[in-house]
Amino acid sequence: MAKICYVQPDGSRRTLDCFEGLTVMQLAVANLVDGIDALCGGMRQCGTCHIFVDPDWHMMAGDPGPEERAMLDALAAVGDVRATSRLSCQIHIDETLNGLIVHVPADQPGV
Amino acid sequence: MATTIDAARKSRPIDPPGIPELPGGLPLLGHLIGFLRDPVPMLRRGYEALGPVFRFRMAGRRFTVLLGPENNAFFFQQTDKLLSIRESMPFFHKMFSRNFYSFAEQDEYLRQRGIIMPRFKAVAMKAYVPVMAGHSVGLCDRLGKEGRFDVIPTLGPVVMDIAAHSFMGRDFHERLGHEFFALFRDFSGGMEFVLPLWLPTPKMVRSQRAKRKLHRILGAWIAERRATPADPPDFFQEMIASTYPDGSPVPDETLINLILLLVWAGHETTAGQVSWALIDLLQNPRYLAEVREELTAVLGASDGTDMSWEQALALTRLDAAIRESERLHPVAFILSRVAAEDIDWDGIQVKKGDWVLLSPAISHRLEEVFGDADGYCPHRFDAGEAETIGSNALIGFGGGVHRCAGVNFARMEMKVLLAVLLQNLDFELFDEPRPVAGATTYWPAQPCRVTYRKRRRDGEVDPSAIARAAAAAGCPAHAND
Repeated sequence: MAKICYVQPDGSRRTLDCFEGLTVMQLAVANLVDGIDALCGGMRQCGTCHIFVDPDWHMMAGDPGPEERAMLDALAAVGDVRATSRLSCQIHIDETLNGLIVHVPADQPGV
Repeated sequence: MATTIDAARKSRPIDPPGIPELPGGLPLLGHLIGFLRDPVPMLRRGYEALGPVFRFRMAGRRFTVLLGPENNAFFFQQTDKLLSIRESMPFFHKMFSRNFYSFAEQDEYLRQRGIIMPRFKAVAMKAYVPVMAGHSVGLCDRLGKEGRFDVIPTLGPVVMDIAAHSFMGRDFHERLGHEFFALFRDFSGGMEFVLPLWLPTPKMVRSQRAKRKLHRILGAWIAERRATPADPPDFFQEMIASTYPDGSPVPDETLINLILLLVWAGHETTAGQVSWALIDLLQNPRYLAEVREELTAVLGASDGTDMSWEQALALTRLDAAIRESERLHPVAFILSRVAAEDIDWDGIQVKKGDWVLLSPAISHRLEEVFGDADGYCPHRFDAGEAETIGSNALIGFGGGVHRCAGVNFARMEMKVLLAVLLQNLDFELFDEPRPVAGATTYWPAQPCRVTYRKRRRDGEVDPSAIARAAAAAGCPAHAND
């Protein structure tokens, strides 16, 4: 079981259990987590599943790949992109991420 | 067959070391016959004798089987990287077309998937619940007071009706109805994993004939909807109006293939999975009683016609039952990829071009992952109880980027259909259920009949209980209740 905690901009938290083969985005969308819209369905095409990985988990979640990096660079022109930014559709959950905390941005592009 | 055997001889690969091989295969065919006859017991024997990673051959191809959550995670994480999905479904391009979906170039695949994904988000299910409920109640009305039916041939058409109505509109469904269903059954016969695709087997000929007719029907339907758009727009209207990110229109052939893919993938699997879910509940009356208790609390005396999204969300015991049947009887019993390059991962060596298989049917029954793995225990998925289940353990809908696009639709459809059936009818199993043998969708073998009798509904709905359950399931409308 991996538990993933989603923190909203107002500080409210929701922790979800993952026993399926899910990304951080898929777990959120399946459980109707507010603010993770994933309009493109996890294809790195829209940036609407952008999250900030909690600084304590940054190393464990890893760095974005080149295509994800390109989308985050594009997002930086219109929104708040930080060193801990990731597209949640690109973080596949496994046991090493049990306890992961991610922060949902106040705004997602185009939503 | 001679050509296949010659090809097998020429291309017989040299084994990389380290992975045990399933004994007992024939010199050239390998384990082809055993696999065609009954693949799940064969894979189970492999696991019991050799452990979670083993290898076997079929007709010159080498297959590496990976079992258990950690191997599942590797498989999902490496798809489109070390592992290719494009090479692993050779029948796909014959059923659809070469530049379509998983067979298209990556950018085109992403664009095509981007057309359908937004329409399958969990929150988008709100619009489909009334359609699902309406067709489910319609089945109960047709069944009448009492009788007997075979689950797959009875529930399959309802699943197809719901898909046709949801994806192509009420008018399409009303006009074509079961002609569409019959064509689709023929079309699905093109799913051929083992035999060469050029072989003009009767089912392949039927599939190609049905494909041509379905293209004509859907092409005419697109033209009609372009001339007279539905107002307000439904799923189909939004789909034919969709454009690529650069604003260019989506070609009609791609739209037709996307619709065929949605209905094909949704019907083939959901018909089997919902049948298993019903069968499993009937075999486990204690849990069935808990489900009925929940139904009475949420639906009261309603037959389900007016079921709301919030009520459907609140049926969490049915959620667990559907998950448990997905675990015990995953209709997609294997998932396949082909190694895009030589792989050496954690002692597992796979050569480029080798096939790599996951098996939900076996991995879902590993005792070290799911205690009492052969037992029916939906409570294992309850909050608090699921602590011991590892991530990537339940993989009936696949995982990662290529996870089933329609999972939210399928789960909601199964839940609504089961809720309505159980709310309106009492059931008893008539035949002894067993899985179908053969390398096909892992349905219950037919006939698998149930006898039914209309039941008296009573009970008062407690709105606050629904709101609490819906909020716990994530319903934003009840988030602050």
